[in-house]
Amino acid sequence: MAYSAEISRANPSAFVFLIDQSKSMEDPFGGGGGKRRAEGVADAINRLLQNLVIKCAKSEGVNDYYVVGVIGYGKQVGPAFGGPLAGQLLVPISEVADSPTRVEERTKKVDDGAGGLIDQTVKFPVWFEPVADNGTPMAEAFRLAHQTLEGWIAKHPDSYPPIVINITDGEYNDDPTAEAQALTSLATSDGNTLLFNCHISGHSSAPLVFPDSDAALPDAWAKKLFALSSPLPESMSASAQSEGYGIGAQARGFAFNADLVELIRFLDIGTRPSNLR
Amino acid sequence: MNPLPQTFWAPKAGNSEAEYEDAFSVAPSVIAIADGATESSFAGLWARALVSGATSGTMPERDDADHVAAWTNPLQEAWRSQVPWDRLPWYAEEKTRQGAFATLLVLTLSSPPLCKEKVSDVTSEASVKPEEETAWRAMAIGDSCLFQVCGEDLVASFPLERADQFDSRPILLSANPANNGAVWSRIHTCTGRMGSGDVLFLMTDALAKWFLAEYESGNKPWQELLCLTTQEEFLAKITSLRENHAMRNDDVTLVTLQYALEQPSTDVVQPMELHIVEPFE
Repeated sequence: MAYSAEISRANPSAFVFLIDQSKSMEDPFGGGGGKRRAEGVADAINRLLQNLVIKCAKSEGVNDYYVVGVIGYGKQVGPAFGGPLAGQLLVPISEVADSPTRVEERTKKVDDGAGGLIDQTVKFPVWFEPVADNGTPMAEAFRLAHQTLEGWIAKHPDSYPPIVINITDGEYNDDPTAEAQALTSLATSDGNTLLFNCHISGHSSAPLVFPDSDAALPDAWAKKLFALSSPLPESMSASAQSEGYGIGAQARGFAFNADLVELIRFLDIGTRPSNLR
Repeated sequence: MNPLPQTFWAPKAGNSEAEYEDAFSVAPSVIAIADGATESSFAGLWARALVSGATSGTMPERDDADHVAAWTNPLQEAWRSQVPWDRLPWYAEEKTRQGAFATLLVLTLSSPPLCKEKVSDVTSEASVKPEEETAWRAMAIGDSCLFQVCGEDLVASFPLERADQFDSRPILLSANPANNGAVWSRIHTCTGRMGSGDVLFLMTDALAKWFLAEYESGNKPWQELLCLTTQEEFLAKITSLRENHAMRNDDVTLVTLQYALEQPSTDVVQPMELHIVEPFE
């Protein structure tokens, strides 16, 4: 069965995040809270990285189940990590864990185990600040992702296929369809590269995650990004369903005005208790 | 004549022995195994706390939710006290706060105590008294399994009965009480009797899934396991199963229990010495 390769330190997989840093990201985010789209993108990438790091954390440190790349596109297209990771296209997840630019403390409500909620202080690492500058060379970002993963797959031909998550307001310069198709045609023996899109839109329509059609999407940008998104592999859908997510058989890796953090829960790196929240 | 346990274990291929996150403990009349979940921190520590607690004589007589929940409270406290909270980096702090998770399978024999001779040390079938029988009781949370084989037949499979019932998302016992709300309605119990021709097998999920899949294919996987008399032979068998993709790469634990074919000494097995790995040294 495809998408069933073991993900381990000996057989790592790859994540590449593409983050839209174009001028239009200064516009308001329809997801609410008075945020700009650039802030929505920064929140999404920071939350995705935070959850991926925590997923790989063990008592002895962070296990390198993944290599991670972040490509920014706006004024320029290139590796977007700063600090000690600056200029690197793919880095082990353990190095990402140790390199946030700062760690904030935030408060969230958590179950107290007795039917109530209590405030808990949690650590929120920040790797990326909001950026909004120049055009939206999405096609070029897909090309750089393709180039990066082509080399990685050559060295890891039997790995769980790479996952690319594109976080954008969708308003690209040139139609990226051909580049997206080239990217998802890259394959390991376990399946094709997956391309998921996270649409941070100016529309205030209700957030939508893993839809199985574009019927409820409000504009052509959203429909286009949905069309470019890979269907969720069966193994991922099964994990989602066993955790109580009602996901359709044709669901795609697409989110509208929401991040894709749930996706991290569906990755199979070993036994995950279904009562882990 | 007392039933004799034999234990085997193997870490996930590619991992060190210190990264083995299953645990087992054998005491007079009680055997416990636990499988710490890969996707949780300090899971091995939690699994060891559970099996140690199960064989320390504190297990409740009743397996209902209230008694089992009360029994886990001091174990959760012990786990929390052994985590070096002040030395954890941000990610480990967040992960550990979620709590460690593990399966638990506890087998209790009515009488008499288990003896320490290994099955491989005994040879004479003629010395078995056919009328001997021991009652057993089992409690399970999660997908670690107990199988009972009588002669050439599998007569009990607990708590799972088919290979397709295993998945990578079981409900597990957490070191964080807030996560256990869904657990208490999923405590499985089972009772039976064990005679001189019976063998009981306790095993964690990867091996148990292979065992049931083989059985469903018309094979008798217990024969392959009963051939194993040393840890080295067990490791070779597990390596072979993994390389042939017959078994998922996971920590593996197996405890077999069968009547000695010779009268053993009166010594009893002491709870195994638990090896605690110090994190972040």
